[in-house]
Amino acid sequence: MVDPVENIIKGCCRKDPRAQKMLYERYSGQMFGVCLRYSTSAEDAQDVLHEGFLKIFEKIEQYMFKGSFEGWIRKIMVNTALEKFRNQYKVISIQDSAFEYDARSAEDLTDNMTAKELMNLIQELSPQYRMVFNLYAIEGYSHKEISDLLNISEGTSKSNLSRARIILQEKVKKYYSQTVRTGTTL
Amino acid sequence: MKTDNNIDRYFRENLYDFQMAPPQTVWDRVEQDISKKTQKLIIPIFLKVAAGILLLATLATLLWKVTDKKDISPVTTVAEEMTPAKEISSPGNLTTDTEEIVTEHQSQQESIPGAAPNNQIAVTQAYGIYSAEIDNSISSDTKEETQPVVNSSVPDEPTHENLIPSNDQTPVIAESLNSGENEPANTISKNDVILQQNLMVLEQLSKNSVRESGSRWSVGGQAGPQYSYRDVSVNPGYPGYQDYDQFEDGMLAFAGGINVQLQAAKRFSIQSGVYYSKIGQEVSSMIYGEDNFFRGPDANYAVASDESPEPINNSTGTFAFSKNLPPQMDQTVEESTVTEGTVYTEQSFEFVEVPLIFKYFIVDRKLDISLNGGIWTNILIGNKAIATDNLNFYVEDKTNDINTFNYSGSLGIGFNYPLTSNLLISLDPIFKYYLSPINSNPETEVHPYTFGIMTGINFSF
Repeated sequence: MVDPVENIIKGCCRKDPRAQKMLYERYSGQMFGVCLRYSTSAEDAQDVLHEGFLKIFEKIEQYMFKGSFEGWIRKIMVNTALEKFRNQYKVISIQDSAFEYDARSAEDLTDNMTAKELMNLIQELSPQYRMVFNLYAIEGYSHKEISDLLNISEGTSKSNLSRARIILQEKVKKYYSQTVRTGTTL
Repeated sequence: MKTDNNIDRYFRENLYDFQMAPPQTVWDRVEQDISKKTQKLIIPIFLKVAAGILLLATLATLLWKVTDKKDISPVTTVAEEMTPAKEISSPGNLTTDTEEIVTEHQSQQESIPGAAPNNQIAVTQAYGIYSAEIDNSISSDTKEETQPVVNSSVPDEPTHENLIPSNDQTPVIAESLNSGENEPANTISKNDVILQQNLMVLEQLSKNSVRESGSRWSVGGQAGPQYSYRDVSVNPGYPGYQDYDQFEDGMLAFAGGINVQLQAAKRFSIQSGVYYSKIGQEVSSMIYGEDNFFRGPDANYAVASDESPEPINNSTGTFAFSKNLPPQMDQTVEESTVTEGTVYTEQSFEFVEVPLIFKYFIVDRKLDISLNGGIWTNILIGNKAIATDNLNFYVEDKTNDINTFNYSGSLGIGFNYPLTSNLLISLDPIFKYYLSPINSNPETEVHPYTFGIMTGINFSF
């Protein structure tokens, strides 16, 4: 039996508008989630999603059914986000190793925060830390891959990740201390 | 090895599959942009080439029509001035027509008694060397403007049957030679008319017999300028992916070589040879920064960090230099110094090329015109990437991942003009497209193409 996604993809290769809409409806929610993680705001994420889907429709013939289709479109979204980020922000790199993250200090985290609240924390990171943290911690890229992808050294990638973890941990702690003070439960 | 920790896991588990429906406006924009792109006429490169060839073929046909008319026009024009235009279609008609000519001749020759009219002048002008030789043999002192009435045209496929016998069965040329002294003027005129027709037929027969007699070899050389660029297809997942056409440009280069050609059939010939060709691309103003994160908002390309030069990723491949590009300006961004600069870069590739070109002659006259199609093997012999600020900085290296063996196809038009019976000059507009990508990077496919105008000279045996 032919995978329905395969039919949709073939329809998109023929520039069939119905197939294009089906593809969008199937993946837009998931990809919008990806875009939100790499963006400062929902508006920016919408722009990335828009540009990313245009690229997908334009280049879909290159997919060739090799590997996961979801992985392919996710990669395009991530690259689109990185491209936008490069064009939009002046970014600095922190290459010293002053920020060594201590993994043990985050052991007391609970699952009480909602995904949306966690998303807000990621969006508050500076663009540079957000990119590296997303690529390493969430997408699963290695420092070597990140250094190739972003054309930075592995050392820069590692120190940016360390710094991002510290910031996120502090924000999570701060969140809990506020909720304890106000007595709010999540 | 990849390390994991609670923060990473916590965010990953909650956010990796995080989904949120985007606003409807996003799809509306996507849909609108797709329909715009679909409406925009996208002409594949081969269609552009086909259109170009069609245009050239049309021009060639028009040119042929014009040159064809020119061949006959000097004769007909004078003829019309001199006599009512009547065609010599049979010996019966000939009598009437020549009588009219006699009158014309007689009236004009009154001022130069005894002079034989040299009716070969017009033929010589119009039909080249064959008639010229005969013209010399029967030349007289007079260079009158007297012209024969020859409105008949040479048949497309002349045969010996097209030769018109003179009415007294005497060889035409011999009669003409004698005519100045002994024969009456009407004989001269009549025979001249026949002579000219026969000359035209003979010339065509002679030309065709060369082609029909079998193979004929020629050797020559060609050279000329060519504009080269590339057709690029990039996987959007490629690191550093961007719209390269925004920054990169083609460049003017050169091609030339020697060739050998075999006339295989009447209208068909095959050509091969050895050529040199230089192609490439340039970025006239490449703005670069220390690396992707350092490079500032205006930079198109990321290059070196402080430690060692990093490769530049562009459409045709990566290229790295042995030293850092010069820092030209520092910007303070978020308390850090960002270094940017601008250089001119050029990536050039030199090939030795061996073609197999098929030529079909659509026009086979004084000016031969052929449609040429060929396949080429292109062997990389030179690969250079340079960067310079046009002042005191210059660095040279090469582009990585370029294939040594490449294959291209060509289409073109050939214009050949004979200077003598075995020496001709040529002008060949040619379009060449690399059928195989010249790079081995799976993320990008680069197909260079060139537009060239080759001028050449050929000697045939």
